[in-house]
Order: sequence, then structure tokens, then C-alpha cells
Amino acid sequence: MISHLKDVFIYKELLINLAVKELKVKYKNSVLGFFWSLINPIFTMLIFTIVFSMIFKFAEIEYFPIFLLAGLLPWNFFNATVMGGTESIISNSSLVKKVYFPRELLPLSISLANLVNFFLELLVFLAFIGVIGIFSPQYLGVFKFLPLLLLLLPILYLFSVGFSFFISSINVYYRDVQHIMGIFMMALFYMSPIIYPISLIPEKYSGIYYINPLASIILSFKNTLYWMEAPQLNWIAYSFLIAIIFFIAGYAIFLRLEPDFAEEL
Amino acid sequence: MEVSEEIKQEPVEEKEELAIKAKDVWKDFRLFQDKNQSLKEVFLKRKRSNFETFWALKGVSFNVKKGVTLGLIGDNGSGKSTMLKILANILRPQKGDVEIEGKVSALLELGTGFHPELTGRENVYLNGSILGLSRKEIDKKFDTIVEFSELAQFIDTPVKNYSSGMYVRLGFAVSTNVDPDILLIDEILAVGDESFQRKSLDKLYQLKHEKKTIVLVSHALSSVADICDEAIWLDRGKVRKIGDARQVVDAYMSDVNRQEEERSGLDQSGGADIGNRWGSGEIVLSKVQILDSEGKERQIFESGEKMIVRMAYEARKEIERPVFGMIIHTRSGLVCSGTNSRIFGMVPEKLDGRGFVDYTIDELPLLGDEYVLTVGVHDFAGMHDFDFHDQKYVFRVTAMKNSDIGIFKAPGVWQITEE
Ligand SMILES: Nc1ncnc2c1ncn2[C@@H]1O[C@H](COP(=O)(O)OP(=O)(O)O)[C@@H](O)[C@H]1O
Ligand SMILES: [Mg+2]
Repeated sequence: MISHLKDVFIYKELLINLAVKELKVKYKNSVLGFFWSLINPIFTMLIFTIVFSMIFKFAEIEYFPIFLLAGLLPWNFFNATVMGGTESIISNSSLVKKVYFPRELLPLSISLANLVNFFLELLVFLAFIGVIGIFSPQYLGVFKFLPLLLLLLPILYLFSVGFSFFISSINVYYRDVQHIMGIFMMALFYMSPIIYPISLIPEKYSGIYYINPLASIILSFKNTLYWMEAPQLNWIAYSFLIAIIFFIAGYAIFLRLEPDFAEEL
Repeated sequence: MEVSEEIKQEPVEEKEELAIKAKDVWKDFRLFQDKNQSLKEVFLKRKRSNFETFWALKGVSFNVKKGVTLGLIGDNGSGKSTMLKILANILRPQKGDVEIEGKVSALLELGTGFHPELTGRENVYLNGSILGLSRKEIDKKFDTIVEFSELAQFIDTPVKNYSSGMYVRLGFAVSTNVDPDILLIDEILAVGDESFQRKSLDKLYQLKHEKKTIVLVSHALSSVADICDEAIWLDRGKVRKIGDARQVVDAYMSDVNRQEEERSGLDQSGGADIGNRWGSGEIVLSKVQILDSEGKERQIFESGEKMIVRMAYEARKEIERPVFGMIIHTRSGLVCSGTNSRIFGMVPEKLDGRGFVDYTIDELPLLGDEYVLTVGVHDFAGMHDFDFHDQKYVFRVTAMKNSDIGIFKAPGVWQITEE
């Protein structure tokens, strides 16, 4: 695995090109281009805000849009990386069948492209905070917590990429994985603390709730970006461990299946 | 019938010299009933659907020294493309080992790996980086690549809008201009227009001159014999012959000829049921033969060889001034050449009984392809057909020793006069 990671490093130029390609292909045919990536979370946020702060009311949550965005940011990254990665081998079959390069570059390039999107969305988020800060200056405190992202982002990244390695390689063999993933991701979305506060989960179920490793990762983002409290160290350690395990296992499976991709496509 | 000629390559003392070392390579394809099955089936059957194993390569071994141009020849399905894909690290052999020394650039069947949504320019950069070039290095080669591909106008068009010819041109331009140590090419000489084929061939000669290692799969046997130093003849996944390119090509050619003669011999006995025959029948062509210089009937001729078209006639009554004619067509019906005995100035006043008429071509000017022969006999004015065999006789021309392209050789000499 280490030698494969070295290979990836050797091919870094290609990796960047593939990521740029990803962004280009994605936005090439649309007039609004790059801004789609921003419009998408803004609209999601608007819809959820309308639904959950006006129609259903979970709890009194101040500035629900911020609360929501703090969870949507990591979720969007995870979702896009896994779903994009799942398709990446198949949608690049014209390359896979004709030229050699480490195949893991494909899901990796997707994750890099999504990282760019993540930072753009983060900018939107911070702009929001800036506006809200005019009325409730205490929210400006979020800026102090930003450095914590340097800790949280690698965890989210490793976890998402590991998962994407696993699913993308399986998908080459069983194409309906892609469809199952749509349902799976929807379930995961509601099983993670994105649209509701964690306080809504009854105490006795919280053990089961945190079996979903994504829940603790997203919660850490929320704590940082909305509640403005440093996540507990043991939570971070737990998440990090899970992320590493997912990454190593996903990568190992990917590497096992990779040599026969060209034949299966 | 398996005649396996074991010509071992001389053992190579220094391993450093080798660019490619393939040892006992086996490759199987599992022929699933359906390839990408669904999970449902997996759960129901608990295993992947039944498959048959098909061995595309059965223990292929060879070495290629640095700077050598190697040709891979053999019938369709003999495993040439599969071998090339293994060398390119795209397929994994079931058994055996492949060692490659140096940077590989591969031009596999039908173009390189391009991304359809990206423009030509973007694909050049993408491919360059796949082959390990930095952006700066590609910048430097970019103009050369575009110029070679003759696609300057279209370079900012997505390649999905390219014709297959354009695709191939760009693919060839990229993969030969990125400075590879080893170049793998599959059937490139068979696609694209003729002027580009010429250009590609020139480029290959240039790379050969620069001591690149080249592995070439091609049906253009004359080109293989010319450009390659060594060749491998693959026969149903096995090495049938390996060694000097010309010798291997010759051996393969004579095998193909022999097989085709066997096969077409059978066809003939089944009756020539192609083409049309008509005429009033006062005189008939009772037998039509294509003969070689020794008077033996043949169906395969080498370009430049002597060929005789012999028509045996039987006249039921006395025929005045009959004219015998013959036309050579391509398989698609295009008339390559046609002539008759009146044009030649040989018209007998009267003919009856039996006999035969020969049309002798001293040096067959046709180039390698399959051709169809029409023969006929009609009256002097050409108004009345006695017997007409329209496109009834098939023969094949091979152009092993001739690299000219097209359907006929325009004989000539080259000369440069410097002023
Ligand atoms: N992906 C594949 N799946 C199943 N069979 C294949 C596949 N690729 C090639 N084959 C089979 O392997 C044999 C060798 O193919 P190939 O290497 O393309 O031959 P060639 O290039 O010499 O014409 C053929 O019989 C072909 O049908
Ligand atoms: Mg082939």
C-alpha cells in the first residue's frame, strides 16, 4: 500500500489534471458554471430552512441556516466524494481501457475536486456568518474556531475517500451498487445530525446512534462551526481511528480489484 | 495441423539491454453469460454465473532488446491485442511475468485514451500527464503534436465531435511525441487516410532511428517486414515463429496462402455461385481459369507476378468475328481494368469448335487485395452477348514485397534534380 501511495505521489501532476478535468467537465456546459456548486447548497439550505424552521419545529434553534450549513458542509463533501467516486471508474472507462495509470487517481481526483467545492461552500458559510454577525456579534466567534478544521478535515477526508475506494471498486463488478447507494446515502443523511440537533436523540438510543461513524464526524463539525465549542478529544480520537480503518480497508480492497478493471468495463 | 517451429532467441547475457521481457504469459478471459451482473443474482446464486474459460494467450515468452522494432503478426483472434494490453499494463496476465524497462506509451486499438468531453488541447495535456510529463514539458511539445495531427482548427473542440480519423491522428501524434522509451502500437497503419498512414510510417521510422523500442501489431505485412527487425507470429495464443522479421512474415504469408488455397479450392468445387451469367449461347465459355507462369491454376498471386486468364470456348455453330473480353473489379465492384481482343487487334474472321483464349498479364500491376474477374464473349459491335460471366471469379493478390498503397502499382522512378 505504501508503494502505491508513492506511485500516487509520482503521478501528482496527473492527479491534479484529473481533478481540474472533473471540475471543468462538471461546469462546462452550464451557463452559471462554477456558481452551481454554491447555488446547490444555498438552495438545499433554503428548502430545509423553510421546512424545518417554519413547518416542523424540532427545537428552538437560533439561525437555523447556519446550524444547517455547519452540517451540510461535511455532508456534501462526503456525499459527493462517495457518489462521484462510485461513478468515476466507469465514467472514465475510455481512459482505463486504453492507458495505464494508478486507477486510484480517479476516485482521488473526485475527492480533490470536491475539496475545492468544500472550500467554496465554506466561503459562503463564512459570508453568512459575517452578515449575521452584524446582528448577533457573538457568532463572529466562529472565526476563532476555524483552525480546528485542520484537524477535522483530514478525518472527514480519509473517511470519505476510504469509503469511496470501497464502493467504486465494487461498482465495477456490480453495477447496481450505484442505485443502492442512492438509497443508502439518503438513509445515512437522516441518520446523521445534519438537520436536527443531537439533543433530539433519546438517551437510550445514543449508543446505537453513534455506531454510524459519520454521525460523530459531522457532530464534530457542528460543534465547531455552530456551537463554538471544541470537540472532545476522545471523540476526535475515535473518529480518527475509524477514518484510518475505513481508508486502509477501502484502499486494500480497491487495490485487490484494480488490476482487472479494464477487463470488467 | 500444428507445425510448431521452435526457434529460440539467443540467450541475452546482459539483462540491462532488455526493454521487454515476457515470460510464459498466460491470459484467460472468462466468458460470462452476462458480464456485469446484478447483486440480486449474486444473492440468489451465491456465486457469479457460470463461465467458460477461454485462453487468449497460452504461454507466450519473448524478449525485446532496447532499440529493437518488433512486429506482432497472426490471424484475427490470435492474441496480438491482448499481448499488447498486457505489455501496456492494462490487462493482468493469469500466469507469467512481464518486465518492462522504461516509459511506455501505448496506442491501442482505436485510439488512445481520450476523455470525450474534453477538448483536443485538454486531452493532449491529460495524456501527457498520464505519460508522466510535466505541464512545462507538454507546453514545449504541444505545437509539434498539433502540427503533426493537422488538427489546429479543431484543437479546442471536444473530442467527442471528432471523426474517428481525427481521433486516431491526435492519438498517434500524442503517443509518439511524448518521448516514450517503448512505443506499443496496435493496427494504427490500418486506419486514417492514406497520406496520414504515410506520415505515421515516416514517424515510426524516425523513432526507430532514434533507437526507441517499438512493438507493432499490424496487418500490413509488407510494412512489418520493412520496418521491423524482428517479428513474432502468434497462432491461437501461442508463439508459432519468432525471429527475423522478413523470415517470420514470409513463413506466415505462405501459411496463409496455403490455407486460403485449401479453403478456396473447396469453394470452387461447390460451384461458383457468385455473380451473374447470361448470353445467347451460340458460343460459350465452358471453363475459365486463372493460371500462373507455370500454367498451374491458382487463386493467389503475388503483385508483379505473371498471370494468365484462360477461357475455354465451345462454339455450337460458326461465329463471325467474336470478341473476347475481361474485366478486373475490386470486391466492391469498382472496375480496375478491362480490355478485349478487339482493342488488342486480334479478331478472327470465323471461329467454331473448341479451343481456348489466353489473356496474359506479364507483370500483375495490382496491389494486395481481393479482386473479381468478369469474362465474356460478344459480337464485333458489342451489341450481342454470347456468353457473359459477370464478376464470377475471385482471386487474391498479395503485395508482400511491395509497400505501395492503393489498388495498382504506377510504375515509375524517382529522381531529384537540385538547382
Ligand atoms: N475482454 C475480452 N473478453 C473475452 N474475450 C476476449 C476479450 N478480449 C479478447 N478476447 C478474445 O481473445 C482472443 C484474442 O483477442 P485479440 O488479442 O484481440 O486478438 P487479435 O488482436 O490477435 O485479433 C479473441 O478470441 C477474442 O475474442
Ligand atoms: Mg487486435
